[in-house]
Amino acid sequence: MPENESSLTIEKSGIRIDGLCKTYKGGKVKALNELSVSIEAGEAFGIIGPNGAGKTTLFGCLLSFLRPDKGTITIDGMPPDALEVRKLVGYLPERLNFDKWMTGREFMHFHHELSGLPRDVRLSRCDELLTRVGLDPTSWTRPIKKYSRGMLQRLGFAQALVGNPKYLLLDEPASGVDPAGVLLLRRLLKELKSSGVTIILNSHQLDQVEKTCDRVAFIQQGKVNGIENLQAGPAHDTRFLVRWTGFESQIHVDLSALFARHGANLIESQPEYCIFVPSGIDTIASILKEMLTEGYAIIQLTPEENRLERYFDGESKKSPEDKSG
Amino acid sequence: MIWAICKNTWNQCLASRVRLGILCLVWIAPILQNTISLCVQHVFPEALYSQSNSVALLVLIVGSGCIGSQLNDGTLSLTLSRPLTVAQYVMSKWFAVFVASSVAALSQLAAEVLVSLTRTPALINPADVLTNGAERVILCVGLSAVLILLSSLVSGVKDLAFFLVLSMVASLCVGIGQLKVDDVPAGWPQLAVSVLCPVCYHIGQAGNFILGPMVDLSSLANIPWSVVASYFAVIATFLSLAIFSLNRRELPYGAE
Repeated sequence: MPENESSLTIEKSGIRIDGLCKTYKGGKVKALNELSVSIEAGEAFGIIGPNGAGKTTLFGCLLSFLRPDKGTITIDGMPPDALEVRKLVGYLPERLNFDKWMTGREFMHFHHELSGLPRDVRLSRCDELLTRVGLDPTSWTRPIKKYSRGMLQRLGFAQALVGNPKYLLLDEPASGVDPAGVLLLRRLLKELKSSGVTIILNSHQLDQVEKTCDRVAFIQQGKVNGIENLQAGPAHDTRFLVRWTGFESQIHVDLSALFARHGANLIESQPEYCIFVPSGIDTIASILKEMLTEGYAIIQLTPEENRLERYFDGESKKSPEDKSG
Repeated sequence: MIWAICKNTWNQCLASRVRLGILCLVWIAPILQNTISLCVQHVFPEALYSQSNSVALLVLIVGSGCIGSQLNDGTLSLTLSRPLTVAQYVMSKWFAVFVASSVAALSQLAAEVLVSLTRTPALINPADVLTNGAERVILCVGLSAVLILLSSLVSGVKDLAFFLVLSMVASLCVGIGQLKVDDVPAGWPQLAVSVLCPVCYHIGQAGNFILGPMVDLSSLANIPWSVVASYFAVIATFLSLAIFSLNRRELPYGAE
């Protein structure tokens, strides 16, 4: 392929959102305010933010259900309402509003047929997807109205995978799913990501977003306030909290030096606890051993909030002036 | 035409027991009425075959809420996230409604003919049966287009209420239009009646035609082609408006 042609292909692939504005109630409520972001093809992109930040509106615009007042969205260089784009996009809605009278299998067949996919593979393909999302085969022929929230979520996820989408838009995919389902979902997302599917994940479950996504956008008041690259920096910068009892005043140890000897970073030191970031998971035992030797009666060691939680917390606490600056 | 949408519409209709029950009642009522007249009371019924009102009811029961209920349930957004255009969706819905209601109307006619065959075979005229059948299909096709537009404008089965209100207004206009000048006191009421009644009458007639597009086939040799043209114009306009309305509409999505 000639160089200019390949650069054009790279430019056209992925999702480009530029200066997106969307208001409700005659302009009184600004859901999206000049939102701009680029999502590369093949990346797993998370969207986090407080309630009412505009995440769902952004999804609505990406799926062309909502018309933005201003700004543009292109998916592989095409507008989101183009039929070609709809062939590329699979989506799992937050509200699982399905035709309740259908059975799970009928529902899958309906969407397979709507996607214009060949009839001869319909049964095998739909059954394969239902198996892949872990939906119990005995429920496939049951009406959807008898499904639990978790089952609906699995069915919705299977529906999103009909047609092997290049872009997968997932709105709270783990909501109402049991722990086994959460693990299955995480594994599925990893598989999809490794097969080159672009995943856009809107979720309040920060640990799930952190474990799945390459980059995460923090959206607040309809704007992207920051993008955290989860691939960059140390992979394990989880903080640990150590708590002890007894008389810390009787112990004359320089904790900073102690942690530094093990390559750990002391974040906070208090009379009855401290918070540190270890250089590796294997160094924690040696740190604890030395602390016990020095006389600390340790009663608790717990991993603290994770990276995305800290990021979310930090972004949420920023004042509007900080953000504009 | 998207076959999956058509099948979905029929299955949606069959899945509602209430709708199915009402449909059965409306379907069987004129047949029962004729059977009782012929077999029990031994009198000829007013008409051997049911009237257009009965057919219109069948269309209304089959088609009410065909788009509106999807809007109401939030299932439309998922359907339209698939690679199909709004025009394809609307045309498929229209096709499904008129085919289902035509089947119901024609089977009703067939049952009525069977009842007549057993009791008054001499009265059966094949030409009349064919004409009646064709008129039923014509009404189903036209009325389905009207219902599709109304259903695309409102959620749930409010289109049924919308249709009934508009029908009542049209009938009221025709009623007012039939007032005679001599029936009202002299002076300004007579002047008002003489000016407004013809206007009301024509508005009412036009309304009735628009809400139940129909071509009278009783005299095949003298079909007014202006009526045929109007019939197709009403269907085309209503379907185009339904497509326009759905294209303009923002689909319900998410909780925000």
